[in-house]
Amino acid sequence: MRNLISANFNRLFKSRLFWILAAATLIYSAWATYDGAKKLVADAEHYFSAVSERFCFDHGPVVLMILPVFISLYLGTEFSDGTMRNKITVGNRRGKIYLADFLAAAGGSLVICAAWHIGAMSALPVLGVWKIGIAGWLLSVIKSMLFCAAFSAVLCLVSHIVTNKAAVAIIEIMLALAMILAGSLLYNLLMEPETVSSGVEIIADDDGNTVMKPLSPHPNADYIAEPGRTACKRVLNALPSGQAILLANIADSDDEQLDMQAYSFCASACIIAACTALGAAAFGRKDLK
Amino acid sequence: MEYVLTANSLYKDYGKFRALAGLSIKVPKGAIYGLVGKNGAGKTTLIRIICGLQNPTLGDYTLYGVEHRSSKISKARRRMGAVVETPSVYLDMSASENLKQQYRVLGLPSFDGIDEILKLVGLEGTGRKKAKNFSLGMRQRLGIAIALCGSPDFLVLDEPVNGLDPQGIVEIRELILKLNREKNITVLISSHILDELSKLATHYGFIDGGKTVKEISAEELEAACRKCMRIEVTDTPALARVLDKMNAEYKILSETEADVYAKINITALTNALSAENCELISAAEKDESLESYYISLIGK
Repeated sequence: MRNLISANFNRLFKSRLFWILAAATLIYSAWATYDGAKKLVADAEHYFSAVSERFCFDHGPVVLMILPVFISLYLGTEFSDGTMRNKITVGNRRGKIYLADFLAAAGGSLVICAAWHIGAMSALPVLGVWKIGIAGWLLSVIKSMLFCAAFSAVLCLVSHIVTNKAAVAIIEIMLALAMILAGSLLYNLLMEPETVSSGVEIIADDDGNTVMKPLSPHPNADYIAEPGRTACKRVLNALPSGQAILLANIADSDDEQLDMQAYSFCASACIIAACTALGAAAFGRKDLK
Repeated sequence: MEYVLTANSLYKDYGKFRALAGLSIKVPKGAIYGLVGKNGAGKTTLIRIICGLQNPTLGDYTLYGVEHRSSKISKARRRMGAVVETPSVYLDMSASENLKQQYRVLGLPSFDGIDEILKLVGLEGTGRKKAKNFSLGMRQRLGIAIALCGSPDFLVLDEPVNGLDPQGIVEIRELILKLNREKNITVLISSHILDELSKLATHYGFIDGGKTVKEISAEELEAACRKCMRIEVTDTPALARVLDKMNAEYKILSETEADVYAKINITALTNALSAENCELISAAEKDESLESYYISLIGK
């Protein structure tokens, strides 16, 4: 097992694609975060409400789009070049091969995730340290690392079931898009207020002047009531993409706390365990060419 | 006789398609075992099963006496190397990096021996050139080099000369012979090029429709592939009478053709045929090859 992990990480650190993606993440994160923070500071109206975390965790969904590119090409090479055969022929058990592959894929994903956070520190000189404090920031970083690892587990599973490199790249990118879309939809639904005011009515006051009077609020048809609300919150906090979206909106104060930190941690751990067990079992039975 | 590999009634189904239908072979230690069969006969499926890439639907096989369902099969597999279909190499790595990667997979403590393997397969001068820039022959040799990491004593090669130029074919043949003779490596090799296989193999396994048709040693094959003379005459019954008188073994093929399995004097034969009012039209020596033996065996 140690041999396989060593071989995988050696190949990972020699992979040009991996370093290009990590560097691209770092540069994009640094530029986008700094640019966003600078624009906000320039806009004096919002300046006093600006905090670093508003930008630091903004790019989680972008990282989730980079991971399928990295994992599909990194793991896909084993099947397209046929080198997976070299591991199996010499007697390595498939379960161990799968686990070593997941560890390398997750390791690479964490480096990319770290590149995101390092780049995001470019907001600090403009907006100062995070209002959530170092501990809060660290907790958020750990959360992001966990959802990246969880998403890597999902991608690793797909990469070992669909062994065509081109097909797996397309499937994994589409999967990431679908997950981000699902996460966004859920988040937007949950952010719907319970009641809405449909506008104002213009009336004449006692002096005969026209005044605008807000209409009394009425129930919002898009609001998800219980028990569906709790279920949606759980799904949002379990999905890696949902966690990324919640993290991106960490600075948005909301009366209702959507974020379920401990639950998210457990959900990521469960996704990793379930996908790894399922993937190892499926890969163990798969006929390879 | 000690066998490196024995397969007993192997079956492999892909959905409704049966690729192997009770295939059995025995590969003796130290042999170069040639697996002969047409496309779809089940050669590659057998090799994939032996290499652990696929599981048989039914039946079993043993490697060095270890049954394939046993937990000890992993240890037995350590003693084998394989090139299945295309060479399994990282295209963005050099020859030496590819071997180092396989050394890591095997958990070998040092990279000693890599230069020796590269020299053995004739890739010692490739330096930092990446495998994607190698010719097909070089990739094939690199695939064999990777299979040789960890000093295996059983090498499985699936169509190793497919797509190679004549020079490449000769180089691979010499390499296989060298490995077998100098390092005493048992080789299981499948090939379509029967003439090429006949220059290597010490044992043959003929398979068709997923079954073993015949297993035979090179000596037995040589004895079976007798030399004969193909004779064309105007009247084969007259030829039969003459050959009977000469006590020669023969086989009538048509009204005008026959194969004679004996060394006969052409002048004496011509005179005897003349006395029977039969003309000798042509006579040619015919050497039955592995190819003709295969065709006669498979019957297609």
